[in-house]
Amino acid sequence: MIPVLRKELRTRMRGWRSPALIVLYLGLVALVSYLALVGNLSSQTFSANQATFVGLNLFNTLALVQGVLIVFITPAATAGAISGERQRQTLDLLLVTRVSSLGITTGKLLAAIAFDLLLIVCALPIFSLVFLFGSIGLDKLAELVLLFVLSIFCFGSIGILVSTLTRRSSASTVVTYMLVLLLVAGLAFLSLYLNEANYANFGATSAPFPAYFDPALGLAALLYSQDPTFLTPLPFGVWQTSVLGCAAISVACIALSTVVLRHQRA
Amino acid sequence: MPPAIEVDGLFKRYGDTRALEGLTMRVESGSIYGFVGPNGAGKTTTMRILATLIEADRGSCRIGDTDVARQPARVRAHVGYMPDFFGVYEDLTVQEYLEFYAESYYVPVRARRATIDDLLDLVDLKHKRREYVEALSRGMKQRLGLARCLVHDPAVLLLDEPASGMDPRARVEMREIVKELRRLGKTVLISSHILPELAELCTHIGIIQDGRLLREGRVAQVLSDMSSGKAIDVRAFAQRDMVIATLKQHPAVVSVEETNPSILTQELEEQTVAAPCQVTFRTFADEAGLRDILRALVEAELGVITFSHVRDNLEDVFMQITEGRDE
Repeated sequence: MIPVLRKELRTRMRGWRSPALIVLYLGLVALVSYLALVGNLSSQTFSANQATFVGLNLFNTLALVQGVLIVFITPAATAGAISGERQRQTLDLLLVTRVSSLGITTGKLLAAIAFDLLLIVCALPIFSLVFLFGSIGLDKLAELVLLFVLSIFCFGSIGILVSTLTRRSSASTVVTYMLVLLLVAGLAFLSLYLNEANYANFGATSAPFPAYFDPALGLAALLYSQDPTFLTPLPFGVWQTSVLGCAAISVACIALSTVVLRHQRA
Repeated sequence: MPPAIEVDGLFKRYGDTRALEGLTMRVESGSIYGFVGPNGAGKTTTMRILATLIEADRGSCRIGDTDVARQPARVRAHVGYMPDFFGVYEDLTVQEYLEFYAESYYVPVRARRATIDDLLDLVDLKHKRREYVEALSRGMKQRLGLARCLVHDPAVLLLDEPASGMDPRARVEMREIVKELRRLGKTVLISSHILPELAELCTHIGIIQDGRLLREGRVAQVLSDMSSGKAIDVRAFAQRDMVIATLKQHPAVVSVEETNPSILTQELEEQTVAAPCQVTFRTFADEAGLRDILRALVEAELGVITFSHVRDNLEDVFMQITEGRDE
């Protein structure tokens, strides 16, 4: 794993693209923060209650924006990891080395998501603006970061799996985006539908099974737990189930990718 | 000493296509084994099986004393593989490129620097150490590829068309490097379409067609086994037909090859007997017999100007064995 990770990190961070993307990402998050603050701080004076509201609102907005950015950035970073090697005709050379198939897939995954993690870390100072208003504690921010990290692992693993199965990176990228969107939006709609059906038939409001694997519903549950006014009530339990669901998807995808790669290796 | 590579009854199919049909071959330690065959004969499939990239459907192969199918990880430590087409990481420098593969083959950190230095010396890329791979010419990239597959000091090298796409100078350099590798005690299995080069480079040769090995052995032995007698080239100031007729009358002449003359030569031959013609014939005659054939030509007053032995080459033998299928 280490050689692949080291090489990938070296080549990914080389050149102007990565710094430019970091600047763009931070610029976007900073702009959203600024607009959220300007919108909420229009009055000259505000009470403690208003400060709490402003802090929560800023936190929620930043969390949603970052969640959306993660959905769009992560698949692009991982979808070409293996298929790109295949397209460049370097995969065979990698497969005849002594690095194990698991080492290749995890090395590729970690290198690809390391950049996303860097983006999250870089955005933390902007997130810390919410501490000025006293409504959000460090523990809440840590929970959000944990959910983001697991979501990145989840989306990244899907990208790696699709990448081992496809010949071309363009096809891999399209399929990965489709699967990620299906996971995020498709499972949300399915869960809402199942929930409605359950409620209508049995009067039950327990979280339907697909909801456990949707990081978007996890984020919604996390934000709802802190600010019940931010979203309409979602009877989908707690955000921790989504964290576990994401971890399960990641493990399954990486295991499958390793098996596929091992099969390709003979 | 066990053979460096031993392949026994290897079968491989891709869907309906039969790539290998019971291939059996043996490569002695320290030899350079030329693997020759038409396109689609099964050369690359064999190499990919030996490199642990694909599995055979049936049969076995061993690298040294290691079974390729049972212990692929161990085989990888002892084999260096250079495919016919391969890419490079263009955004790495030459040094970083080799460092990556050295690390991937678990070359100890302390030995890495010295190994890479030696390899860059061997392939004459020391002066390019800090340059990006994308800046290298095709020939240099091929040499870098060769250095890559040597980075873990393998005992066996599988080189699939290593000189493809190279200019003549780069091919000569590649050939010299392969010879140097043999001096270093490596066993090399090499495939190439440039048969005269293989004949000069290799100690052994195997000719494969339709997934089966047709001939195998030392280069000189295969050439001699496959030659149907000596080939003798005759040039004479006479009409071609007269020379051919005289040769055919001699009992020691097995066959006369009527090489197609150019249009200009044909015209000259038709206009005057003074234009030289060229005919090649095959015979099993010894020295005295050859003198007798020459005497017959001289007595027929055909104006013989040369009577010389033509060395059989690998191309001729290859065409003969594979029944003239295009490479």
